[in-house]
Amino acid sequence: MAGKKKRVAMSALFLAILIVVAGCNSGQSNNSSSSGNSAANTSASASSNADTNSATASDAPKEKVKISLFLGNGANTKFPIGIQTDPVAKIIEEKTGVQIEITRNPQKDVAAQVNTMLASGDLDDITYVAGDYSQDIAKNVTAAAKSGQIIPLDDLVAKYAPDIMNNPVLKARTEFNKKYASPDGQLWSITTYGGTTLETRPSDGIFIRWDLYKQLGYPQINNDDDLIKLLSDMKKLEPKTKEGKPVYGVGGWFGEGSGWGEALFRYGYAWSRGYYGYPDLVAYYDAVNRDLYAKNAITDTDSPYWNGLRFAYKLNQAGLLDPDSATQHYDQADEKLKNGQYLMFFSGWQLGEPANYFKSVGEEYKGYVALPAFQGHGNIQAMVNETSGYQYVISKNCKNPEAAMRLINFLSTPEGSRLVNSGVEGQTWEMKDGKPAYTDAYVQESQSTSDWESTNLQTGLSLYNLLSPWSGNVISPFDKAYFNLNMEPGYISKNYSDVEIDAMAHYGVQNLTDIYLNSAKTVMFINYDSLFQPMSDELKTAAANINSYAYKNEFKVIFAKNDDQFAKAQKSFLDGVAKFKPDEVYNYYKTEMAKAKPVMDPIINEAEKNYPFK
Amino acid sequence: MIHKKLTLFDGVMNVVSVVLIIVFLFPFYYMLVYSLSDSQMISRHLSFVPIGFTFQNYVDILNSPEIVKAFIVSAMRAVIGTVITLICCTSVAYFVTKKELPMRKTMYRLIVMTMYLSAGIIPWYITMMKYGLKNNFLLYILPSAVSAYFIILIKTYIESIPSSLEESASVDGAGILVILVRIIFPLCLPIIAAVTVFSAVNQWNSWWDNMMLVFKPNLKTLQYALYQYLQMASPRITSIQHAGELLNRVPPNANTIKITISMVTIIPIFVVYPFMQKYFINGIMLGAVKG
Amino acid sequence: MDTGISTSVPERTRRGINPKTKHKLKLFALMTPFMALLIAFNYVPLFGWVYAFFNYIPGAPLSQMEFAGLSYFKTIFAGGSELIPVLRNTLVLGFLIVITIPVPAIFAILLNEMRSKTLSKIVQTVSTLPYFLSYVLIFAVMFFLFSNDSGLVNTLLHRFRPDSPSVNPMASSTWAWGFQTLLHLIKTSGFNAIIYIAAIAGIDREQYDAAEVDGAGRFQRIWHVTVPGIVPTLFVLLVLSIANVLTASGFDQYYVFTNPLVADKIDVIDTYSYTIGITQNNYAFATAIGMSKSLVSILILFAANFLSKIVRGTSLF
Repeated sequence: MAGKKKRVAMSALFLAILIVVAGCNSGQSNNSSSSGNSAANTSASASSNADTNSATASDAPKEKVKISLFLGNGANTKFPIGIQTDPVAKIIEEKTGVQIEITRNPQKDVAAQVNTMLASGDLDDITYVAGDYSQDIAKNVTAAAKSGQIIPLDDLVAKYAPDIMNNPVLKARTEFNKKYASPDGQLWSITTYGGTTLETRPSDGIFIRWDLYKQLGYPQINNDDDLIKLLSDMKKLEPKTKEGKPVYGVGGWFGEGSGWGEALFRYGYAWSRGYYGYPDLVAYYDAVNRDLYAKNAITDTDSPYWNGLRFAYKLNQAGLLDPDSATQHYDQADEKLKNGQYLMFFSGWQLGEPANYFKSVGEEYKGYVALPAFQGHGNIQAMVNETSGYQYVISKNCKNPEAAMRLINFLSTPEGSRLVNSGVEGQTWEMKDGKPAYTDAYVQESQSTSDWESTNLQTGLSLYNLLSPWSGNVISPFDKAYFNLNMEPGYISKNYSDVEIDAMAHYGVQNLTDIYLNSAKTVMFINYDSLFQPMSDELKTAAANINSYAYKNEFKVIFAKNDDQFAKAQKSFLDGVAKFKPDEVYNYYKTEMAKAKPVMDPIINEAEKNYPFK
Repeated sequence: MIHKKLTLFDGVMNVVSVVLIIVFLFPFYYMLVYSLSDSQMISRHLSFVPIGFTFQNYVDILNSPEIVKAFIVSAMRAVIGTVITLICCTSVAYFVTKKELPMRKTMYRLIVMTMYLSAGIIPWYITMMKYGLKNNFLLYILPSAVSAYFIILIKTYIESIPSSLEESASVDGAGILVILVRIIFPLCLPIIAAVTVFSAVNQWNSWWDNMMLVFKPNLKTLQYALYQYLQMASPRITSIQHAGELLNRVPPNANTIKITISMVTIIPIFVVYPFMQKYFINGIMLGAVKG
Repeated sequence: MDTGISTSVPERTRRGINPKTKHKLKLFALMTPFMALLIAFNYVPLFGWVYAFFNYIPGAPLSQMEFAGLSYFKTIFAGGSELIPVLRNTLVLGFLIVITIPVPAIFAILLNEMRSKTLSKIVQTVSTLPYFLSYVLIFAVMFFLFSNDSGLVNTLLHRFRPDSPSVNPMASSTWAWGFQTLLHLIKTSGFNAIIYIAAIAGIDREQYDAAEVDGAGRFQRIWHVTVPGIVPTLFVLLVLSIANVLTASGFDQYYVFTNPLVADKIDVIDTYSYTIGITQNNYAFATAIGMSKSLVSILILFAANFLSKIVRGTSLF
């Protein structure tokens, strides 16, 4: 019996292996199984912008060149593997002779993925190496240069990227990289997806339930204590959601661990008041004064960090802090926000979800709007990313670096940059009153989708824009419309919620942005840390230990039962953190900032000329 | 067979069993209810039965053509991988019990130590690349073929088999391989069954090797496909890209997606598992082989 | 117990190779391909350990990298007093897992003794279910039960006793070690019991009958027939688990269940090194920790093996 079984097993095994091997081999050829089935035959290459400068139009080569591209963080995760055939890729192919190939999709930890690619000599022709954290730019680009896996770009840019070299802003970026993101003064990476942005709503702010605020008569809020009183009053008006779930002022997600888990107070609270926290808790960037917060944030009890903890403590005293904050993960907090259980939040990108909830229970009159900043603080409305952004390098295995550079250059032209952000003209957008805007058909279609990635793969919109010089919330220097057409006033005004309309009426303005531009100082956020040189290993370890310590001791302060206990817990916290020498870490930031300011400030002044606030 | 009367022990065991069944079954039941409910409603209400009963969550996931392909890949991986692993581990386990094997002690130590050695992601990645295992189905099979834990389990079991059986076979002129296949293997069926379950489950649940080294869509495993599906639906990602936009169709909550995905992976296991169980029954059938 | 047969090939001197030697060579040759696979996938990648001694630059040849000696290893201890609680947590949690090793075995024995085979099968199948849930999902279930205001347990509790404080083991530092061990048991016991069930299935039925004839009651039968049948396996797994103490239940469980209220109790070596290493994206540091853990674990393995030899007379190797 054993023998027969064995024979059956062996034959099944052979059969299976045959099938598998056959399958492997048939997959060798490039099959792009993408869903490029749009009606792309109409007006594919209609473009109203004559590109006079571009070298590509006159000498687009006859044979197609395949260039593999690894876009990195934030890229579409559903690219079909192989040569891309969406409408935008097809136009790029026409104009530059380059066929874009995707060999892999980004993993959750892109930094680790890039490291493995570097380590095994497995880079794509054009590969992302840094950009998610501006303080990693110098470090990652230098490391990539030293690895011997990439090529210097000085000659390539000079010969094949006229739209970069003739554009003062873009050329300045290359000069910049040669100085700060290079081991030897050569150019090793191209900066993309940067620029100076302007948001409609604050990127972080004090977003509150405007409908309840209205019911209470729009009281003036000048400080945290006023805010707490306001939240208490709001909670009295609405103690439970429609389904009977309790309503709180705010809820955190500390169960996610140190860093992201503390985001609500450490980052969100601080940023809504104009202070950006660097990852190491000792340093905060003061956006109003454009400098480092003057003191060590973890030892100074009036710092944005301690103000955040104190605020959390007071919220808890008033019964406004969701007790689950200490243990829940982001998913649970997010669900509660979506279900209308939180009266306030800080991050602008959380706005859309509760709006859908209110709509679904027929309570569209409810919603959130950000208050203008308190006096002396700042609404962060804009960001300057002229020196940071994303960094792309070219692999030494690239068979045709000229073509790669031609591709990058095309995306820097008026036509190319608009194409990769908004899709093919005539299909997803058209000129309306002299400015680009979505077609009505596309607006209809996009309202009914929730799977953006698949939709984008069909229209080609927003797939390769990470490789163009500017991010979506930058106003195009060419056609004066936002690169991301979602942000155009014409589009946004169709989507104002009831509460936003009421807020605009209350403040007497026509555009939502004006509420913040007209109020207290509206500020720009500037990535000074893209110039910081990497920390020494001892400092890095000290900083990491400070973070770990803080995480384990914050709640002793937040959950203190009274002011006495708060003071005791605070003292104990400060005594404990001293052994990690926080001042040494702070001095690192102080030194680096002092070096960075004189370099950045002229760039900022230049960028500011284009913006309506000061 | 004499009928024994119901003892206190039996009574207590029955009660405890029922309690255990409830404890173990509860998370599964919770997930079943959750996955069969309307996503928005279940996140707002506490309920023991599905609210807004719907198969939509499953439909959403099973709709993508790649899921079906991925299912097949995972199934093949589970079957082929387990067969290879069994062949390798049983053989090694048997050989290592033979005292006359040269360097036996050293080899066994080398085997056991592998359970405590980890090289790290990057050297592992480079090594696999050098072996040509990128985008290769063999990546799913070869590294786990000789697995210390299984070898130890099987070897311990073999050592409890009386040596008289082997001796008489070899006196009859049977070679090593014949003894392995005709005598050892059948006697080890219970532990082989256990290892089969373990190995198949491991294979079925693996996704990390897929993520790191396999990019071809026709080699994608089910777990990895589901993992990607989950990543894509992360609320933070969709929100950042479309802040402030009002959508007509609200995407399901992350919780719902996570739970439905888990069910899609678990249910096939429990369809197949009962077939393995019969090998675990008290060896009435095996007693005959041994006796 | 017998551990192998002696070759009963008659010893004859012949011209050519001694048949005993031939037999040994054949065995060795049979082992070779498997050992080759083992070495290829487990030992060859260890070349990466050399990077723990250098300032690692991914992709660059070794000659390009600065020699760092033991500096990364020193960094591990730079945590100073932060490292001590982490080590303590790891050892406590690991030790708790070691002493609960017999639980799946006891479970298997009880299953075997159950009168109703159908019920026994159902319990056995159902008990393996939690193994298939990721810790992320187990967290979701725990949250569903113990969330402060809308958790099932607390909702029921407040209905009957409105004034009592909410119950949430996930938030309790005092119960942290016990709770995590309990979770680990619920998740793995049913699945691991399969090994012991297999071992029991291999026990000769006749031994039970003989014992019964000799007048042994149920518990005596268990003690004298069943237990000796599973003790070899149990002991082997015990030794392996002792050597694994530095990993305890693995990274996932503690990473998922960490929060500010229990972090000082469940931060283990793996999660701590992740925190320190991840902020730096520091590959050499991570390698130094991995290497140290491996070496220490192997030392513990040999020590535990030696102890086993003394206590039981047999050892793993």
